[in-house]
Amino acid sequence: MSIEIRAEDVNVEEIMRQIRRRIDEKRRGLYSDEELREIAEHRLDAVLDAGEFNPDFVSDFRQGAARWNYSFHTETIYRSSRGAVGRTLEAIRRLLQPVQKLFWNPNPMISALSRQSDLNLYYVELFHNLSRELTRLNLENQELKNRVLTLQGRLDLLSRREKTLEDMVVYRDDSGAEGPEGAR
Amino acid sequence: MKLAFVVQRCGEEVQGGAESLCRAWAKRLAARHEVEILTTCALDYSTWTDHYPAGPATVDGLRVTRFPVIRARDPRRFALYSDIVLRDHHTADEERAWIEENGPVAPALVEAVRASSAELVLVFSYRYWTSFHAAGAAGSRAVLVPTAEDDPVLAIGAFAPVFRSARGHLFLTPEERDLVQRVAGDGVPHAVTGSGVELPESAPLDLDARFGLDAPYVLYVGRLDGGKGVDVLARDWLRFCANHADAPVLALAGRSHLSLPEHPKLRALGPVDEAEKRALLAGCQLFVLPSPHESLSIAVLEAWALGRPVLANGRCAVLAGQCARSDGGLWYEGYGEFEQALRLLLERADLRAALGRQGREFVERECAWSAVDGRLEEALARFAAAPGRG
Repeated sequence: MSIEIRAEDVNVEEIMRQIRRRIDEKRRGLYSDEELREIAEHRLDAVLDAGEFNPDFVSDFRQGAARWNYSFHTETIYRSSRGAVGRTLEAIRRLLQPVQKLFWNPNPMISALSRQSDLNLYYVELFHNLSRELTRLNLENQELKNRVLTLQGRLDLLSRREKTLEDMVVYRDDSGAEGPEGAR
Repeated sequence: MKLAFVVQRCGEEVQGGAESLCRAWAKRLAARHEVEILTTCALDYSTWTDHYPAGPATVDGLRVTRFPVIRARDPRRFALYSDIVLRDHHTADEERAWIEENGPVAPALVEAVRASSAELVLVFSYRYWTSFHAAGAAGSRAVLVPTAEDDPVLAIGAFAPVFRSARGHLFLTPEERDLVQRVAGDGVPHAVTGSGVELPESAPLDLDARFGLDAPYVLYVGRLDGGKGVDVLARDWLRFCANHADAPVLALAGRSHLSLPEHPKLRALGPVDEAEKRALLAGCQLFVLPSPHESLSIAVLEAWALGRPVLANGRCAVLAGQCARSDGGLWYEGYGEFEQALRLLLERADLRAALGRQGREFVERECAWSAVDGRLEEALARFAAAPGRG
């Protein structure tokens, strides 16, 4: 165990902090087989926690689309980023375009990549909406489960009370003699 | 000063924590004050049926007067009202009914408190019928020794006026004080006196011959029941043993109220006497206390007095506080911490020795009777001088 302790003057609060840090580290990566089994058996209902859901996700993503997505149109494949040299290079590429088209047709590729770029934006929105809907359903599910647990608890309580009260009842006939319960 | 002590049971055979505390304090204070213990004839706390004869008696050299219990506890009715009051919405009448069912119902004791000429009446364990009514009968002379634990009983509204109308409160730990003040406010004069513990001399005992303990062991001493967390401890221990083949035996000493799993690393020793308890404590690697509800653990103090480290349930604020203040033990919340803390203690003999030494120093400093006597005397003098609250 990698807990550093000088045994001359022990501070137990420091040891407890180290133990908790050690457990946290373990949780971040070093799981035993048993713990892995436990995790595998654990339900995934905590994945979509309402507290972790970011409602501004899509607008944030759209604003920074250049960071993660690419824009693609017919001129993109001829561009260069080398300043003045690049501009000359772009002009030569444009001049040679008809020659190049003798060897292959870039249009389907340009169309596919352009379409993929649009699809990326669409998927972001779709996944966001799905996450939001799942989170809402998760919350509703939790609420219903809590209600079921509360009602189950009250039912158990009432059943126990009913049983206890039944056990405590003493039957008497008209003459005042005790019935079977009282006769015990 | 003339002092009356009120406690639910008192006798040589009575093992309860509050009852032992009452006797110990009464014995100490009897050296300087006129002391009388007022109690019931009961011995068994589960039924409160009369066991001792009513009237005056002498216990441990102390003057004790016992009063009959007029109604034995009906476990079914008590369970019913506990269900209602501790786990459900309830009325003030149901709270009063819970107190009646909890018992021990001894009206003559309450009359004796009312008639007593004691300047202060020290009422032990707030939760019983005797304390609830005796505190009322003592009025402004009542000094409560709540021995409160963090459990649902403390939230029963009927007790709040009892706490608030007392002349003073004597607490065993700062955590207990915080618990009580959370429900009763901090307007009542109080003192945290703690409890004294004898620094025991452990007489040698052949633990192998007596208990079959021939190898290192970890010890628990106390009642073996779910309320003390022993079932959870047994489960955690077996889980620990499954992962650590070299784990020592867990020896459980005390009267058992639950069926423990059969396992070579789990040994129920049955009830033990004082000498056996001390020999077991002196011989253990460490003392473990899994109880989630304690107002003070004398067993923990005794383990420290014998230089043994402690591993306690951190969900009990009192135990975690005791360990932190003394630097004499570690605590855990959940199996993860239990495993890590236990492994560390078992692997490091130097750490066990250091914690045991620090625990012993804490007991010598804070729990020596001379220190507790001083705090008790100061608090009682202060309460006696304070105006009655009525």
